[in-house]
Amino acid sequence: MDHAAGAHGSEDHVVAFERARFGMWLFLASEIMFFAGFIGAYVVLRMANPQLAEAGQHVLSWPLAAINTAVLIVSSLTMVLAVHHISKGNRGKCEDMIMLTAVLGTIFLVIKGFEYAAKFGHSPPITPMTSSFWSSYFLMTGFHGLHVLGGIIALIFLLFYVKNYGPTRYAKVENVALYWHFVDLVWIFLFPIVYLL
Amino acid sequence: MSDPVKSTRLYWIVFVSLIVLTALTVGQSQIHGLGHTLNRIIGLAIAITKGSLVVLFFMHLKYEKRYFYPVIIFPLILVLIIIFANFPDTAFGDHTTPGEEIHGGQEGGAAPSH
Repeated sequence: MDHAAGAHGSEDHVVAFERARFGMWLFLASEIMFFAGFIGAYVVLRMANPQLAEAGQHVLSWPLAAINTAVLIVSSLTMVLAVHHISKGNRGKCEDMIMLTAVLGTIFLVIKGFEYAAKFGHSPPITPMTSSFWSSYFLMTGFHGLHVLGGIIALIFLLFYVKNYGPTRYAKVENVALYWHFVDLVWIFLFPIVYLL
Repeated sequence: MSDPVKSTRLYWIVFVSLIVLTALTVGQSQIHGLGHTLNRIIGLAIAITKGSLVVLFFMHLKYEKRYFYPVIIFPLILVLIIIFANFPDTAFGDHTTPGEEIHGGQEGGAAPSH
């Protein structure tokens, strides 16, 4: 424990950073279980009633969802670049990438909003009550959207703190990035299993 | 302390790979001649590949100490278990007739005769 307890050792922030990241991974593990509930329910419910999915997928717009997939992938790139820049001490570029990530996340939510509006405006309106396929759809994409929103809020908060960060102090940026990549990861699986397959 | 990835070139390579794989996913899903099962297998395989790229390189798991790996691998195994464990009751259909679970079937589990 001595090397960690050393008051002025240069390893302190390395160890602390590693522990902070590990904590974030533990949280992401719980998030995996959270989404597993909804995605798992979708899988078994759909297998029990495949005709509902066939009907539902005709109404879903996979091109819009494909665009959203690309949007999130680009946002993961900007996010990892933000971490890279702050690790090099480049606060300005880091801020730019954080803002770009937040903008891309917002674009994702706007497109999602159009998707939902099209469902509610359908005749008859499509809601979570319409069928088990649709309730699964709204739960999975709805909670994913809420996670995107949470990430955007975290990114905005980050912007106020970037001036305090530097090459030896950027754990919060890395952890928000880990969360953001996770949100992208969930969508990488949601997109094919809901819209395509 | 610095980004374990030294130049951004790796990130751009991963990014392009992700976009190409997305295009592949969409493309193969539209080839109906492959059949549903093959579409699903390929689609899932591509998704797992994309996910691995994000986890290993964007999330830096490849550069972390080894004790990080169980944190993500164990939940994934658990997820597979809880999904597949539910198949007999839900995905494979509900084979009880009303009342059977209360009165019981005949010996050997044959369907009740009423």
